[in-house]
Amino acid sequence: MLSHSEFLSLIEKYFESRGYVTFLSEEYKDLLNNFFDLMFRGKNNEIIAIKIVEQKEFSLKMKEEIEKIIVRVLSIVSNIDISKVYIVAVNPRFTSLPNIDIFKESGIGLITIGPDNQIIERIPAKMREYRNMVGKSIEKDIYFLVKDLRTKVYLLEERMSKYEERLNNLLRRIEFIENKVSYISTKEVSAISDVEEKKKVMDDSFDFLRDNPWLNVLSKRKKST
Amino acid sequence: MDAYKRKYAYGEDYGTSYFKFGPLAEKPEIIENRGIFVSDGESIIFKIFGVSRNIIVGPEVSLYLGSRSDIARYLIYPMKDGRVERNDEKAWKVIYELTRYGFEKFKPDDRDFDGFYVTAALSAIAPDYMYEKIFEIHSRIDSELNVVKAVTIIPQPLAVAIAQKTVTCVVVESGHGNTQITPISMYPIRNAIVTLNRGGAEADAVAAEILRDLGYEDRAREEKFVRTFKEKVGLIPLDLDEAIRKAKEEPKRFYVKYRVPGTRIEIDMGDKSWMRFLIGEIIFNPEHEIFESYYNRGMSRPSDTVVGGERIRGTLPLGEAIEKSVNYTPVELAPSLFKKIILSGGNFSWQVPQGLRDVAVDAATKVRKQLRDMGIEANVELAKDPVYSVWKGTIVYSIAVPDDYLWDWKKKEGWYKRGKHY
Repeated sequence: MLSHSEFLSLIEKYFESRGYVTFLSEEYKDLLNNFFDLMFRGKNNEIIAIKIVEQKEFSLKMKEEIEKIIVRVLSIVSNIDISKVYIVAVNPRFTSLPNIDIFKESGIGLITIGPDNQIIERIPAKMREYRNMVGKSIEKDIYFLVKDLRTKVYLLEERMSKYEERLNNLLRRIEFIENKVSYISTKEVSAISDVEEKKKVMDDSFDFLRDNPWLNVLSKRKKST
Repeated sequence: MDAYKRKYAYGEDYGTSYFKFGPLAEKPEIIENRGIFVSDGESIIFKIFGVSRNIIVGPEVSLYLGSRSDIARYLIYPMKDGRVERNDEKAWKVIYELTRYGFEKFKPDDRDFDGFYVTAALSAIAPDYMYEKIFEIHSRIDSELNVVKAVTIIPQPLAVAIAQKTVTCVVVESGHGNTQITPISMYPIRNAIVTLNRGGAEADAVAAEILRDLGYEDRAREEKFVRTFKEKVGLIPLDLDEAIRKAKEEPKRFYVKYRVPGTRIEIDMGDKSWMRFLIGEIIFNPEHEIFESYYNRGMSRPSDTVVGGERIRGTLPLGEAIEKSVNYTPVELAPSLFKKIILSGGNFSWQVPQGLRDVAVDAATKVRKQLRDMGIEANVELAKDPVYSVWKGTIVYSIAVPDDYLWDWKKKEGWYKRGKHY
């Protein structure tokens, strides 16, 4: 198993063989120190940034890490001139990688390094012009996402407060019903059938049903022969 | 009466501005008929965070609007004058979400629940494709939630008649964009429906002209301001010429200064307070000569409609339009229809202030006078509970119509049922 610096060297050779040169600049120094592992410049002055992710013990952890990197990259490239970004996954398992659609839609490329140190470009990165146009849409998406999360929290708080109120109401009603049941059990119950009782209650409860001739008219609707 | 249908009756009123829905209760739930598109389904951000909702409906919509005006372009109002355009995919998606919202809210946990009997109410002039789409939406929701045992659709005027407990009547429904006159005798008499291309929008237009005449050009351009001004200061005259004459003779009695609640914004009508009567009159008689100067100024004249090959003037006085509609019905039915004319909709809701009862009237009195002037004695009343009456009618319909009465496209009645149609 190669060390991190050996992987860096491997990747440098890969890109140099394709006509890129290692790129160092004051402007990108912070990015290189804090986030990206390598940067290259191409024949047309396009700038490529590389982020290496090594296989963790758990596939889920690597997948989550890559997703976080994608989100961070999208935020970075909206503010700085980087033409292409590649994530280099070292010895990934199939389950360690996010869905291919996420790479394609974000424009971020995927390169894998296998156990035999073979480097394969799995998903080509897209040039930054595309990502600029998507930037505005992503800004809108992030806005709505934040709103969505805030709304969820607000609604949860509202619901909790309503549940609390309903619980208090229910407790009051249970107490009332307990008192009523104990009262009724001492009285004689009149001989109204259960169905009629329900019907009476339902009819009396709503004025628009009570004595409505349409109930009779509509009940006679039938398919004409 | 079928106990299951009574227990699980469900009503839906698809109004242009509001969607009212719910099972049997004192009143329905009400949400605005609109939705906001938060995602086109392709957002990578949403995919990573597992957010799946594309469209938000209900009270949450206002939480998403916030202060960004560009977000308003993602807000869709699907209905205009009771219609959804056939090919407007986004509008139909909003209708789907609204419908589903209602069922998610009310789906019971009861063991015996096997789906609601749903009656949906649409505009009297809703085209057949709207019926098809509503059926399709309900069958799709049933496949997802198992909440629609059967669904049917009725015209809103029929629902009003049902809520008013009147089997034979004429329902006059006046909304923002149009006014529909529907004679009903156990069934809606569809070939007698008369539609006028005028409604609250015309009253808004006159109110806006009045604001311009008073020197409030900026306010005249604010739709919401014009509408609230109209609602607060508008009056219906028993006789417009007489009302204007009295108002000019006694300006103090009719004087009004409209103040926007909670602000210091005021509209002082001064000696032009007589113009209040124009706002009400245009709904009932846009042919009065006083409106000619407004039409010449550029205010739109209501356009004509065609009923059964006959051209109906958009400016036809309301009383004449009602008579025309009744004349399309069998002659022996006419006296019964004139015995009960029900006015429904926001345009009929102007009150009569104390002290002005000698010249200002309510809508029912106005229509009664118009018909009397034509030699017709009619009984005219305002719908009780105009906000909820359509929904109430749908509940009664769900409870009463037999389960085995299946959908018939000729009659446009009957249940569209799970197991039979979907």
